[in-house]
Amino acid sequence: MIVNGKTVEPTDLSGRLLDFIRDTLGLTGTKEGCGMGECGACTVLVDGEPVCSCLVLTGQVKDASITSIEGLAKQELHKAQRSVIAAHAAQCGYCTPGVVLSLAAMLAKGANLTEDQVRGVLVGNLCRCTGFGDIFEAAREAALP
Amino acid sequence: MKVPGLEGTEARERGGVLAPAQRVIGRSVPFRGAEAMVTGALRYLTDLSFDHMLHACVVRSPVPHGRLRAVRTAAAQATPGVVAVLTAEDVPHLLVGVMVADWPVLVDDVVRQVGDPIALVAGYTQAAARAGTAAVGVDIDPLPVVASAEEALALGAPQLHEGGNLVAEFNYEKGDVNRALDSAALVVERTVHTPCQEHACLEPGGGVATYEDGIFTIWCGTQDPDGQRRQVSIALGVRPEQVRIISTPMGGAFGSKLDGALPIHLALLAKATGRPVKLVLSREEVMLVGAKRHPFVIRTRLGLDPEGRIVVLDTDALADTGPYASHGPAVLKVAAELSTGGYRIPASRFHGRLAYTNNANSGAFRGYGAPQVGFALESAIDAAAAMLTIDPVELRRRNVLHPGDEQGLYGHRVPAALAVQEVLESAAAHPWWAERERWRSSGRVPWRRGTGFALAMKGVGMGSARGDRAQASLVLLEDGRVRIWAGPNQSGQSIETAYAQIAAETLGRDFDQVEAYVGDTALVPESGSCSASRSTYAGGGAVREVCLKLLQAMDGDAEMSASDWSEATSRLTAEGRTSFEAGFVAPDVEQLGSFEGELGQFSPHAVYSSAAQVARIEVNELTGETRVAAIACALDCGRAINPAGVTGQARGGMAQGMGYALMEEYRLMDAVPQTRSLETYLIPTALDVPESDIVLVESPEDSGPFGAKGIAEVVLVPTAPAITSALRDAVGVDIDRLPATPEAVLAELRGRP
Repeated sequence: MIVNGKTVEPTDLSGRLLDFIRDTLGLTGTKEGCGMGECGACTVLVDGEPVCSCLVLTGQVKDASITSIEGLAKQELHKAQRSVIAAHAAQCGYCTPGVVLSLAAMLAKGANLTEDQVRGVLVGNLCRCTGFGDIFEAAREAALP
Repeated sequence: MKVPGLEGTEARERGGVLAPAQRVIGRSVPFRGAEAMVTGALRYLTDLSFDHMLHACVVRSPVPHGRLRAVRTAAAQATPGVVAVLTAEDVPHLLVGVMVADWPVLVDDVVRQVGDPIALVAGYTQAAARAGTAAVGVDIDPLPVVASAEEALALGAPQLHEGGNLVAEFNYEKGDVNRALDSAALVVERTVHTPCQEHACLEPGGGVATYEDGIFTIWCGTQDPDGQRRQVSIALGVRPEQVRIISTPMGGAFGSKLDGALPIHLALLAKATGRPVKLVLSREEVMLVGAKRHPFVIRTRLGLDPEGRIVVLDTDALADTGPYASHGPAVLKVAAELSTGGYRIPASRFHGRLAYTNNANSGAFRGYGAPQVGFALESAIDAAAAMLTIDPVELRRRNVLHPGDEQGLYGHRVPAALAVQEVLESAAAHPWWAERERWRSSGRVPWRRGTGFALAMKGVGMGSARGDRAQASLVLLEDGRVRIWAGPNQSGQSIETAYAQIAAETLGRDFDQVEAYVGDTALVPESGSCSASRSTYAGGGAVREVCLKLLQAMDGDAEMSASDWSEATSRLTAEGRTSFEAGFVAPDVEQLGSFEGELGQFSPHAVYSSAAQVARIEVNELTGETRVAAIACALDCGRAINPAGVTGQARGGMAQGMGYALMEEYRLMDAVPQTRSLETYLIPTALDVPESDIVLVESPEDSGPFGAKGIAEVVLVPTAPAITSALRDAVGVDIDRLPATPEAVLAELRGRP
């Protein structure tokens, strides 16, 4: 398994990916909100696709490349991250890592999306603070060339 | 955090002085800490991990009401990896509570709701703690349940507490209500039901505690760190100074983190084991035992004259607080005050009762009684407008409060900065209201379209005679920078950013010259809770006061040059006068109306914010499904310290209000919770939320910092009645029970004449 560009070896292949990332690797940017795939706070990218890490066992992704929120920024912040800051789209911030990764996956596809499609990109990420308005704004900003 | 134009070379060249063009009040500076949020670097208190840390779980009641016969812990003690098992016997002082000490830290006698805590188990791993929890034997003899407030107050009902099931009763009458009802041209009488609403913060509750050298340090998200510190000290039988609570950051709060036993459980575990202990609740646990919004049943009798002037309002409210009082009595009081909404009403009465039941425990939730009575009143006004064939905005316009009027229930003079009339006019002028006929006629079968309107005001701060105080302390650093500690704390509204903006503007210094810290009882002077729309208003007021103190000591003002500032800094440093404290006290109402001497009992507000909303909806006549297309909100925030912060909070509040209107209901059956996860308890998603437009109507409040008022709660209040008003417009249904689910709307549609 590759996590954020580094090769790692999970010893317990029957554990949740979320626990491996948080507890074993200490990457606490990935949040647990519900533990049953409803809220999206634990979203990570598995080979580029946003996935709820609470629903995946490490054994299922032992050969995959995984990006957690800590691995998104390279030299500078990723465009999705900059847009979320600029649009004031993070309030309590607990859903933010998942939201940012969903937006990053959207941008990676180079999609020129309608507003309805943007809503679809974010449908797996619950946010209780913002009412999504500023998150949509961040998505629009991030999608600008 | 890089703020364009606010730091870096340019600012250094100016010596940190705020150039006139760089005023920070009224600017949407990015939130402090946002970079840590988007990179995952921000450590929430449930992310913390310590060496030799234990993990804990809670044994909870599976039944809603029963007598606890025995708690058998031997098997749990013997479970591999279990370090400690605690029961009620291990709690020095069992009963706590913010208003009534009726809430057992651990149950010793009677369980009163599903999820009541019975024992705590700590182990080397979470798995060990869970195994230990499963091994605790609990014998409970079931008792008959009280499953509604009506049942609770019926003759012969099982009594939940020694004093009976009536927690609080509240009566207030202004004028001769019975006579006014008799002589009114039209009396609209309706009874509405409002649901139990779950906060659904994204972060479940939890934290870590240590006990070292007689000091408890508790890292646990709470909106009331000083209040929780007192509760911990009472329960543990220790002095308050032995307890330190570090309470931020929080992954959402909305009132849910004002009380509860979590910090006490952490402290008990840390003391019993002598090691750091972590306890994080599951989503199901939070949904079982976390605070909720009180369900209300409200009978309204609204009397009007033929011209549509309100002559009388009679409100009778019955609220279900669940098994413990929590904030219930205060919620009922706020409901009383706001039962008359933003209107002039010559004769009014409020009779409210709060009952214990075995249902979910209700407490504080954004709006604090106002959304319930707001729905009752606004929907009654809509019904009256329909009967009198008067435009609903025009009917409101004829009755809206103007500055200097008597408040509807208590009769005190409403303040000069009250802008309920301005927000009404602003929302009425919004294109979404102006073009309502076009929207209506654009509906296509089976989707029918409608537009609704609602108005609200909400007190800012704790209310008169409650001593609403906040404090701030400030240290002037040798390099001329300023460090501030202030409360209330951060629950997602980025209050540190607002505090720093207020300080920078007051001092005339660059934004990056001010550090602001919140949320640590050892560092922040006691400032009350992060609640009641008070943080920017009261906490920001204290920040402004302490900055003015510094300027006074410097013998300077906000226009000081860089060299004057530097000189003054050197002088104060040499004199050892670099530390300052100041406080803010919210004013009491000026004209006491008819309740002089009883201010503390009624606690009316001297400051109100207000909001009017226009909702555009479409409803499917075949399925009853309602989609909210758009909501416009005209919002009086006094003066916006950070406009993006204001509009962002407004959108969030409106989304919660939309959930309250259409989908959110914490359901129980015979007091057993049915909606225990986010799979069965639905909150609005990205697909559900409407387009929104927030129009800021700034009516500066003299007592607030730079004119600011709090807006966190008022934004939620008009949303549900605006949506049901739009349903009336679209298909002629009169919604009297929230949420207006597709099933409920369909039933109404079928019952139409």
